[in-house]
Amino acid sequence: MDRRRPTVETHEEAFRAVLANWSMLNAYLRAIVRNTHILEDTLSDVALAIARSWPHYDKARPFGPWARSIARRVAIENLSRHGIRPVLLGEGALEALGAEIENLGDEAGVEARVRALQQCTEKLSEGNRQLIRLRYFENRSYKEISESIAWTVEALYVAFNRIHKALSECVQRRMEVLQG
Amino acid sequence: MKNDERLREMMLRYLDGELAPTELEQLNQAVESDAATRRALAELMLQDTLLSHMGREAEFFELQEPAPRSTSLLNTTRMLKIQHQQESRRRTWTAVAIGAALLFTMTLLLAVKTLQPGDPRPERIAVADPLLPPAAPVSPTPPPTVTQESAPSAPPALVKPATPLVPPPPTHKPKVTEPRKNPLTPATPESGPQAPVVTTVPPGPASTLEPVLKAPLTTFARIELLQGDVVVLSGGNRKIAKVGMDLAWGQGVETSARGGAAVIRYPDGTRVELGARTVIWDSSEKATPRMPEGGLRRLRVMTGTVSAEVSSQPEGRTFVLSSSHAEAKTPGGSLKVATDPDSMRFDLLQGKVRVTRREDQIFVDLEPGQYVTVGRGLALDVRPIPPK
Repeated sequence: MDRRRPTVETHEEAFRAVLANWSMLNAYLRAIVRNTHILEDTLSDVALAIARSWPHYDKARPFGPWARSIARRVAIENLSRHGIRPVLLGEGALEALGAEIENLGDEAGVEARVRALQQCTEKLSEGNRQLIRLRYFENRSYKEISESIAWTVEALYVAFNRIHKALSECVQRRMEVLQG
Repeated sequence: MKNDERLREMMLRYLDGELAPTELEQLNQAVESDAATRRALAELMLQDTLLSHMGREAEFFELQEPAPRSTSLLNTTRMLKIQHQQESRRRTWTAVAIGAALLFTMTLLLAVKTLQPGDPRPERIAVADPLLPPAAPVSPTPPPTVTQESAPSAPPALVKPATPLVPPPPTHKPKVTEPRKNPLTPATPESGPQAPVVTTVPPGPASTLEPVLKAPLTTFARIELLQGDVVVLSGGNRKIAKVGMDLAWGQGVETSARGGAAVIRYPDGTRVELGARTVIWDSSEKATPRMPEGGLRRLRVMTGTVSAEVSSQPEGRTFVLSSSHAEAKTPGGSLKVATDPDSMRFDLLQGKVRVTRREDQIFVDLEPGQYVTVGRGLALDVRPIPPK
């Protein structure tokens, strides 16, 4: 029997590893794939590609960089299949970002971060909450939002930059309190 | 500081796919050489992901304003404008307020000096607080309820919602506290302190108070049956599944290898059965105030076996079962999907289904009793399902 062929067991093991790093992979792929539907397909494809390659994965090496290299390849393949030539950071910069995201915490840490983010979002002003709603809850692009509320896209970037910064600082404070 | 702001805006534009090539080079250098920039962009990427995830699963924003989109946007614009105006006027008004307060204090001091010392002057104390609503006239007994007034002698069995003698005052419901009605939840009579004399109070103009658009559903399906170990997947988090648990948009379900199985039911009656070692994710279009029941229903089969009895979908809609290999679209029917690491098989038992290979978008339409296997290097051959 070929030990390097994927089996149902290796498949399951691989999926567990993917799920344990879901947020990291998702965030990493967002830096490559911007279209939501292609992103979802890509996440699914990455999970399967990792499962297929699992018998070849040297478990003495860290999972993150190996998984990200597969994710990057699959994402670029998917984009080219859709005729999209992405404007991307260099491979080194992307990998450094992936590693940095990994350092921000495991999935348990991410769960705490989500709770903190929910609380911090509720503390935003009503106008900023509406912007967040349009962008993330109604999944609208900056361009669509700018057309809807008669702002320039540039003004929106400024506004969202401030929102993200405020949320990031708020989340940081809450995480520090949680960690004692 | 200004440079830092500019860099952060560049990060947003990068994630939006709108960064100019020259700026991309700058950002690339900053990410590679500066740890703080790297950290900031990594945090932004994660925050962007988590907000999107919250957006798929959560409800708290949409509960607040079930109003038409145009109204919602007008409100947004108005609120944002007001916010900006408030920012710029705040200082002016603060100065004016301080001046007014000083003037008021001085006037008050002068007035006090003219009063007789020791005279409490109760009529001055009795001035109503302008922040409070006008007080109701004091009555020795509480006002009778509608029941007592309208039908004091009638037996309870004859009490029915009739036109009241006095039309009931309009009820002002706070928008946010309106509880959502989940069609998966069986109708149960409401109880508790907020439902007094419900049987005798006529419905009144309740229908006119309904929001223009319904509050959107917060969940896409409910777990109906379970066997063995089954977990609900939410992002990277896992929680033990329970019968009756509602699945939020974007969540998944995983059944264990040792006899795990689950049945989930959609609001339209569609039933999806998961075999052992199965992982599925919801990838539907989330419900919004415009589409309170949600848009396209899409279930991603990551691995394992899924049997779906799909109820007839609305005109022009299909239920989609997808995987990395292929996508199956059905307007209604009964089908089975089985994956293995290298391929995926679709069996159609009833109805119609179109199976499209993702690699090249070539599709086949199955008739009941047929199956097709999609995988690397496999021809898209439709075959009859062999008898058991």
